[in-house]
Order: sequence, then C-alpha cells, then structure tokens
Amino acid sequence: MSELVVKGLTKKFGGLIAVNDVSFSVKSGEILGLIGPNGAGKTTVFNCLTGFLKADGGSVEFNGRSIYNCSPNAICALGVARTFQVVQVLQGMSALENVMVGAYLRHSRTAASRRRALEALERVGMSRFADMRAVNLTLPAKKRLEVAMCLATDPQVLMLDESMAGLTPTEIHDASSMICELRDAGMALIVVEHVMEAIMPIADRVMVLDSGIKIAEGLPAEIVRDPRVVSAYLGDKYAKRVKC
Amino acid sequence: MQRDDIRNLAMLVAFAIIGLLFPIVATTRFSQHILVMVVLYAVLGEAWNIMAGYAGMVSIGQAAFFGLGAYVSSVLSVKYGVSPWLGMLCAGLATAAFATVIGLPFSRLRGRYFAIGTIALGQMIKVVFENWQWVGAATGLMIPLANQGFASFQFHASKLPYYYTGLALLLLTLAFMYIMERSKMGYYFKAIRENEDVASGLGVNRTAYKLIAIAVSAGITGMCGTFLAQYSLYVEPEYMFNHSISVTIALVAVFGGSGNIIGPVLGSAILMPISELTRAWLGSSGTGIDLMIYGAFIVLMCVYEPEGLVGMARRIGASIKAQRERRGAARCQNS
Repeated sequence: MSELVVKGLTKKFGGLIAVNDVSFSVKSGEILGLIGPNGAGKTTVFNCLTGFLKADGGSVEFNGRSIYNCSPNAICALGVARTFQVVQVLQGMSALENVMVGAYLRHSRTAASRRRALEALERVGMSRFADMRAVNLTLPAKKRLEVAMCLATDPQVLMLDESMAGLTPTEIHDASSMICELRDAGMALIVVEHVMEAIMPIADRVMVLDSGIKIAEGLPAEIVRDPRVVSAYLGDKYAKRVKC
Repeated sequence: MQRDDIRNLAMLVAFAIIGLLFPIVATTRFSQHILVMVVLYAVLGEAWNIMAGYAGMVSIGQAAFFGLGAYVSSVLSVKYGVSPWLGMLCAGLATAAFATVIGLPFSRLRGRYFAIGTIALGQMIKVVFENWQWVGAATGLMIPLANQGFASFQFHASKLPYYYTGLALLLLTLAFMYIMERSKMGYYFKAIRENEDVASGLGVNRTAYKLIAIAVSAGITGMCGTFLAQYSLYVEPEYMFNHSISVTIALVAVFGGSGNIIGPVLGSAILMPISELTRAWLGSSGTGIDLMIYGAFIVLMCVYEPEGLVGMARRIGASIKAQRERRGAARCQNS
C-alpha cells in the first residue's frame, strides 16, 4: 500500500504564486482527477512533485519518505512516474527502445529490459508498433507510448498530464479503460484532464485548482454541483448538462 | 548467439583482415603515413562519436584532451623515464579525470552552448601550455630517441608498426562501442541525446551518464595523443592543441555519419587520404587549392547528405529494397 502525501506545496515565479499552499494525498487503487482552468497551476504541481521544478515551500512524502525537491531520476527510481502535457518521446529511437530506457531502471541487462519493455507495450496495446520510430507515430500512439515508458519503470504512482487531450471519443474510451485497469492493478493515479466526459466517470476523487489555489475537493458528483467550481471553471452549461 | 551477432562478428573479423592486408599495397613511407592517419582519426572520430553521436554533446575542443594526453605521456617519459605504454595508460586516466572535473560545469550547458564551451576549453588549455615553462612552454618537449621496438614505442625504419598499433587501438575501441551500443549505457546515452528531460523522468541520472560519456571519450582521445606524440617524437602546444585537430575529429565523424559505429571509420578512410593527398600534391603551390578541394568535399556532403556516408548507404539500400518489392509485386500481378 503506497501513499503520496502533499502538504502546503507552494511555487512562485517571481511575483506570481503559481501554486499556493496546496495539500492533497493519493493512495494505491485510486484515481485523483486534477482539473481547473488554463494557468491554474496543474502542470506546475506535477513539475514540483516530480522534481522538474524546485518548489518554494511545503512537503511531499511518498510512503513516509520525503521526496521534496529531489532530482527527477531519484523520484522516478522511488516509484513516481509522470507523462508530459506536450507529448515527449525519444523521437529518433524505436518505440521499443523508448520503453527499454524506462525498463533499464529495474532491469540492468538488455534481454530482461527488452522483455519488460515488450510487456509494457503489450499492456497499452502498442505491440505492433514496437519497431516503428517514435517520431513516425500518430499522436494517440505517442501518448500511449509515453504511458508504456512510465509503466516500464514499475511506478506505484503514475501522473498523467492531459493524456487524453486531442483524442477522438473512441480513443478516449480506450484510454479511460486503460487508466481504470491500472488503478485496478493497484496503482495510484493523478490525472490532469480538461475533457470532463473522460475524467468524471473514472475519477474516485476530484480536486479543483484555480489561480494556484485549491478551491474544492470531493467526489465527482459533488464537484460538478459545487458553485465555486462551476463559476471558476465548468460554467453553467456544463452544470445544466449534468443535471439533465 | 543470435544471427545478428554472428553477422556482426564476421564483419568485424573481415574488417580486421582488410586492415591487416592494407600494408601490402602501401609500400611507400607516404602511403604508410596516410594509413596511420586513417586509423588515428578513426579512433578519434569514434571517441567523439561516444560523446556527441551517442550522448548528444557536440564537442569542438577534443584537441584539449588530445594534447593533454600527449603531454602526460611525454612528460612522464622525458622527465621520469616512464615507458610510453604506461604513459599511454596514464594519459588515458589523467585525461578522463580532467574531463570529469571539467564536465561537471560543462554538462549543464545544452546544445550549441556546449559546443562553444568546448572551443573555449581547447583554446584555454593551449595558452596554459604555451606559458608553462616546466613542460617546455612554446617550444615543447623532444622525446629522446631510443632503440626502435615495441618496448620503446618508437619505430624508425618503417611506419607500419605504428599502423598496427593504431589498428589494435581502433579494434579495441570498436569492440567497446559494440558492447556499449547494446547495453544500458548506450541506451541511456541515446536517451540523453534525444531528450534530457524525458530521460531523467525515466530514472536516468543525466549528470552521471553525461560525465561517463565525456570521460570515456576524453580518455580514448588522450591515448591517441600519446600515440601521435610517439609517432612524431615531439610535443608542442601549437601542434598538439591545434584547433584544426578538434575540427577534423568532428568532421571525420559527421562526414561518415555519427551515432552509429561504422560512420567515423568510413569518414576517416575517405577524408584523411583526401586531406593528405591534396596537401602533398597541391599544398606546395601556396594557393590553398588543397584546402579548397578538401573543403568542397565537405560542403557537398553537408548539402546532399547531412546524415553522412552511413545515411547515404541506408537511403540507397532502402530504395533498392523498395524497387525490388515493386518488381516483385508487378510479377505477382502478371502471373
């Protein structure tokens, strides 16, 4: 049973407070949805948790151990992996090689790493693209590849940053069921998403950020009725649509 | 062993045999000199390849490591009478250690800024050695003549022993790279080259792996420095730290195709003879025609085949394969 506990996380860019005293936690077998308008600080939270940005205050504990402002590779080695908002893969390498880079973290030998990487590709349904150069993959395939790369590092916490943006409804359906499978396998997931139809049905809890401040947290059904969330982000139209 | 491995091993053996047979046709001292330069720059190109082709840190200051290696072994042999072979080992280790220290701040630089930094490094080291009295300052050091033989690493009658030594160094380097390319290290280097952030997000300690790449590359380059010092039997800052060495190393690798094992060897096998022959035939005219022809080759290559000779070979191979498949498809339709 693993748990990520964040307390009072704060990040400033000059005079702008991008993340202001945000606290939350997520544990295995749970999907935490993270929503909010553009510029609310969702990606900044991710960057601070995974070591890509140095936070200015607060604490981050993973399984009782502080990972606050550790290096990205150390955090990944402890079992916290993330994808990027703008899809980031190793363009010049094949899909399999991309995943192998992740798999090498726990398997130093090439044969073992390849086996682990093939498993991870299989899990996201990308086996048939194994030998294709990553640069030639379509956007949904690249997003799946990114997830496979993370999975290969055997994470206990997986953070997905808008992994469903730009996908068609069918692709969103596939991606959602993949995320649910990962949760059912005992992983803790934090999912940043703008596509409400995708995140609301699968999230166990939803947290809402606005201008760096956490304005609400609760069950999806409560969140869509929360007047602060409706006025800050969802809008009246969405609230009506949900009520109907 | 898999089929691929057997094929690659066969290629390496064939390559070694061809290398060993070359001297049969190279009977004059000049042609032997060209052979020596080909293997020397092939090794240097491969060392550059580890750092730039694989790990993505383009260096235009390899002369810093090259000259340092030359000086380490020469100082040891002139001042302390240390065997050049031991000197070569010391040169490799000392250069790798130096590169690790220098690499700490350097590995924070990205892309072109790293390249600019390495140019500065090459120039700075040269100035230091030009003013350092203990190592002979601008006049450098002469390595005292000794009886020729492998013990003294000096050969006066023929240049061929130098060639064989260089070839051995090349084969060792190629074997190392073959193993590296198939190991965690090779994958991590390439991941850093492709995208540092993704790499570190996947658990790659980028600073550590960058330092390894720089240190290995510098170590091999330093050993090559010893090789040239023993070949010419003197070291001097203007000669050993010359910026043109740095440029030629990068050129050889890029011309042949960087980021794969065979590229720099091909590049050196083509560029070094052109460079030496145009210099010998046209260099004395004083008009610089030799450099123009040499330069024109490089310009043509950059314009028409930026991926180097290996890229060219791959493209031709792919088009032949496509043509064969088309022909096969046509035959199916006809029958």
